[in-house]
Amino acid sequence: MNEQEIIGSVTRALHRGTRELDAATIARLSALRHHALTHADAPIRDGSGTLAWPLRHVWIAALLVILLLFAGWAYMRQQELTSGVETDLLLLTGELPPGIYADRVFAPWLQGYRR
Amino acid sequence: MASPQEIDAFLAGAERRAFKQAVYAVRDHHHALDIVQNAMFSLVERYREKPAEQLPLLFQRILRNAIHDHFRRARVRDFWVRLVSPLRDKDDEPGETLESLAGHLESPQRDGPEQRSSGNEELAIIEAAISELPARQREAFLLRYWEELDVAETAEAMGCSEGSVKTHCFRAVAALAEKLKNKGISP
Repeated sequence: MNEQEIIGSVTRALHRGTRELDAATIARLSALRHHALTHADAPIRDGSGTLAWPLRHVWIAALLVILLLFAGWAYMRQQELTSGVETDLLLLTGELPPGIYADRVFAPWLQGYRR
Repeated sequence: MASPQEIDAFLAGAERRAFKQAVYAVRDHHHALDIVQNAMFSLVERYREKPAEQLPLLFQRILRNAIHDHFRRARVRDFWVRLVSPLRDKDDEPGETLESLAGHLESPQRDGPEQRSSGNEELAIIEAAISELPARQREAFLLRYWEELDVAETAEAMGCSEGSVKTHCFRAVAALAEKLKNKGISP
């Protein structure tokens, strides 16, 4: 078998397979073509509504979710640091409100805080 | 600019081969129809301003991208399914990636009734051999010899060099010759 014979044999068979497609598939392809030509402007592919964009750009959507989670973590961390500085200032300057010494959990908390 | 009639006529002539190309790649009748539908929409939506003579090459590029998108989505879907289903027996349900489908090569046309006739045995063997080719070799062979694009057009459609196209085509023909010889088919 030389190269041209193989190419000819295979392509003839592939053309025959295309001609002998079943009627249902041929009709479906024709319907899809008609639909594409008449409704190409309608955004109907790959989902619709609010999920359409994330479905089409799944990696970008995943990256956005990761960025949001990181931003949330960074915000919480910053809040903790700010809160710690404020507590230190109140303790060092003795400006804690008097009522806090009546709180039962304050003394154990203060012990732990000093450690 | 291509008229709607020209686009219709082009797609009418190309749709069956496009469907078959998609079937050879994804080995699923319904997914192949979805791919062809997406390719048709993309062509009409984005490229209807192009001249009619550019449509064949554009459509091949779109179809190729649609097939690649199918595999990309399948890989992402498979990843998440595996992630949320740790108890699933992976050996029972392989995903739909190109690699995981390699074990189903003997019946690439199982959904098509045209394959059930015994008179189509040779056709089935040849189509299975086409499906078994590595993706790049199959693309090069089909574009170059079935779609009858020249080497430069095939290279443009595949996004590679002309030398790569020649190499893929040579290897594809050699692989097909070997497979057909093993099955006792001669031209």
